[in-house]
Amino acid sequence: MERVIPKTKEYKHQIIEKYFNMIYKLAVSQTKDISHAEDVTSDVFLKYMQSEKEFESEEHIKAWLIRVTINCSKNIFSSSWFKKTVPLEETLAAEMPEEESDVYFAVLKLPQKYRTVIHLFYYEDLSVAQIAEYLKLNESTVRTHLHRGRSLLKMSLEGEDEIV
Amino acid sequence: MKLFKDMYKRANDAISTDEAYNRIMLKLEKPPVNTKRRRAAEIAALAACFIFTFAAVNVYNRYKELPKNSEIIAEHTQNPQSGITKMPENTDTASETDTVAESGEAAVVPQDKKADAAAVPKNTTTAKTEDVKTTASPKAEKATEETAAAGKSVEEKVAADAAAVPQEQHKEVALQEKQQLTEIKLNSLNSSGGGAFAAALRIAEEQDVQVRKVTKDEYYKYLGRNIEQEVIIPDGFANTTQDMLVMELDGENNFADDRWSFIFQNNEKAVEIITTKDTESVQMYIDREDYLKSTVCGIDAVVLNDAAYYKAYIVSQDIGYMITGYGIEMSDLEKLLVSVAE
Repeated sequence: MERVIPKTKEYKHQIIEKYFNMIYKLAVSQTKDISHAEDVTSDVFLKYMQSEKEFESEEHIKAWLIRVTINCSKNIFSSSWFKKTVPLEETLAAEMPEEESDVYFAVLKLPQKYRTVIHLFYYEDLSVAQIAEYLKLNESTVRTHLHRGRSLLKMSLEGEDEIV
Repeated sequence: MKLFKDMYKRANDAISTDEAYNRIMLKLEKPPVNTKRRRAAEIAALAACFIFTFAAVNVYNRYKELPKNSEIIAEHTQNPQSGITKMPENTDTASETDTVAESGEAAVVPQDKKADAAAVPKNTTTAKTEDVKTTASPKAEKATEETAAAGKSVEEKVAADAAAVPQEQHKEVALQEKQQLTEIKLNSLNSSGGGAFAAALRIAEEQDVQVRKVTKDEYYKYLGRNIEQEVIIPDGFANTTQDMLVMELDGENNFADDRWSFIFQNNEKAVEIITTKDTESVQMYIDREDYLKSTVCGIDAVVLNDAAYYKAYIVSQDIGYMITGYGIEMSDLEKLLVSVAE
């Protein structure tokens, strides 16, 4: 029997609370800017709150949120006169240990398509099949992106102490 | 040997989300708009609320000052020019009983009653005819019919009634009169476009606040810029800005609040430009550290992009602009901002 996903405000708030961390971190990795990430996260959840879409499951909501986050992140740069005020490196430098920040910024330097799958695979612990489903890509494409992303990271982090 | 996965996770976990969470939740609690259509409706509702508020306050104040019942009747009977018009003889609904004329502004009279209203002697200083629909008591209805049949005026009948009715009925009539007069005020303010101005002026007078009617042209002279001519609004937008505002003055006869809202609408899309010479109130937004800065023709601006609208703050030529674009394209906003900045 199919579970009915309620459209109540309370339920939506629960979902926001549950997935806030995931969406915000994904937005940071996509936009490379804290302010932009906040705007994107806010947009995504506002869209979710206003959405009348019939979700089949919580997994469906999660997939939708991830896709909307990626799209909103792309849109925020559509205008040439949006520009960053504070580079992410400066904002996060104080928050992250040096070694971790090297790894993190190496990921941020990857092209967006590789960065997205790397983030979802390594931080969100999603499987290749899940990433393929969420991003509406073939599994083979996701594997290719993961492989190329890893290769680029390896080159970028060469010289760092045996990071595997 | 360190695992990339662990390090990447720790790095992500180090990014603090608490402040962002609070800010975003606050924003979600009060979402700016649900849909573009709703936004347009809100603008219209806001205008209606503005007029209604003035009307309600004014009616309340007037109601408090209403003369006692006996005074009303005395006035009606003693002064033939007090403004009660003759009831049209062909009135076929019991609810429409009376048409009252008094000093004021525009005339709002149904077509079949205009002739009657015109026949009434008018106040020499000002003239106003207002229409009111009230529910008459069976007695009043009967009295009206009798009066019409006898060829007597309503004034005469009221006077006769005042003398004839016992004390209790007298009170009832007084209550009805008060109710009628209250509704007259409400109707006049709701039905006439200039009602809000008149109400604002009256309230200001009563509350001893200095106000002045300001036309758009006067405001442009004050601002040093003609917004409607110099700012590029997207094609197809109709200018729905008010031509006149009642503005409060401070002790030195300057505008206490000089903001003027220019509104342009195109079905569900709208652009609102609020201007002020109080540039600090706008600069405050531009200086906020958590807002992204943009540069328009070398001038700092802040542009916020929400799900349903753009909001922009910019100061140019000593004028502060707060611009909101509902359902418009980013390219349109860019053109608008460039025209503001140039």
